[in-house]
Amino acid sequence: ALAVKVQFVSTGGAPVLIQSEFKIDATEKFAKVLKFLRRQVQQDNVFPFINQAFIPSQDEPVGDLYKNFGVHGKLIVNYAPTLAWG
Amino acid sequence: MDARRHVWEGAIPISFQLDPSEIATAPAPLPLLLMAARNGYLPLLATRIRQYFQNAVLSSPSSSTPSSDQILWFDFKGLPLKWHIPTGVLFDLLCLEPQRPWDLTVHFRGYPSEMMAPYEGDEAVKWSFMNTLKEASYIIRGNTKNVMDLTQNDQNNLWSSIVKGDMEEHDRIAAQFVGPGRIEGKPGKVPLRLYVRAVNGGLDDPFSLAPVKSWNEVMILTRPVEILRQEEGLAFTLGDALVKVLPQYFGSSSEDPEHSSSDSRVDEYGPGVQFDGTVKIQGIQPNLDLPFDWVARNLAGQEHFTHVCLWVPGK
Repeated sequence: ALAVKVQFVSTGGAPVLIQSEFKIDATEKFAKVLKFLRRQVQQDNVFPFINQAFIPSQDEPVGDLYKNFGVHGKLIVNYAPTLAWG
Repeated sequence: MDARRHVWEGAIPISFQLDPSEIATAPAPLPLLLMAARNGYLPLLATRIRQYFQNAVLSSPSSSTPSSDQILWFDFKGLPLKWHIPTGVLFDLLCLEPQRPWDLTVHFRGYPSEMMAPYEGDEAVKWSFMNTLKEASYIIRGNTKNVMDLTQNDQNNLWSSIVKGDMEEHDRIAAQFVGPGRIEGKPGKVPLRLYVRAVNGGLDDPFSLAPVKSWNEVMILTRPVEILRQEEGLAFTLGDALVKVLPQYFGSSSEDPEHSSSDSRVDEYGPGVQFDGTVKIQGIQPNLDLPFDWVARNLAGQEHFTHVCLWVPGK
């Protein structure tokens, strides 16, 4: 199955992950990625952004997000403790 | 009246019925009939719906939340409606044969938070709108600068124009950031969101189409489309765009000798687009030969995404 390299980048004082890069199945919806991130940082108060611009729809498959917004072979997901952007 | 205005002023008559299991009064309240803007969101009607039904709603003994604080949600034939999807898109997708009025059930209790994040009032809906607008902007221009640079006042007025369905007000503010985008010298892309349902058997009778029982039956995809440079006199069509983003469902007639097109058009995009399914945008089934940029300019939703519903013959 196709997997997407997702890199989580902490911003705005959010907890830093020791391991920040993960391979996630391309068909997984973003909702799952968010759930995964929250488990990794062990708190619910983290908000993810793509390319520091927007939060994608929970229904979007990760493969689509990578195709549309990926950079340097990865999907970069910034996460902050607040809804910082906008 | 131009197409864009038709879309902006488009509305769907909805009949809201309170979930029978939540009714405390006898006789049961009559349904509430409201017009809902196509380019709007169902939660924006929540205040009026709440006011109308709240005296008839059972107060749950196990919950301390008064009905004034409960988050309303809606279902159509048992399917909870995702509130961040524009109302017109929900209607087109779930009601291929339009039902007028559209019969929805409103719930005060049991918000399906596993399925969708709750919205805390209009502010949350506004936030969702702004966020999607940023995503569209990113697709069009490669950045969200124009949206981020809006003054707080302009942001509020933009949102207000959506709530009121005021096209002029929207255009006045959006003038600051619409227009063809360019990313590193190349034309930017058109934000497209597709909602695909695979349908067994034919699509001859939309009435016999089984209702959607779960959102797993719908593929929701975001597919930015680059409008390709066209030759003199030839437009990049809606069909061309769909062939690009969903090649597995759209074929060109050159591949199938039985479907040879009588159209004498010879161009780089093939003699014509063949599709055995149904396409619906803003309540209409558009001709696939329409220029794609016309479709994007006139039929886009409020967040500048063009939402396309598709029913494809499949397994």
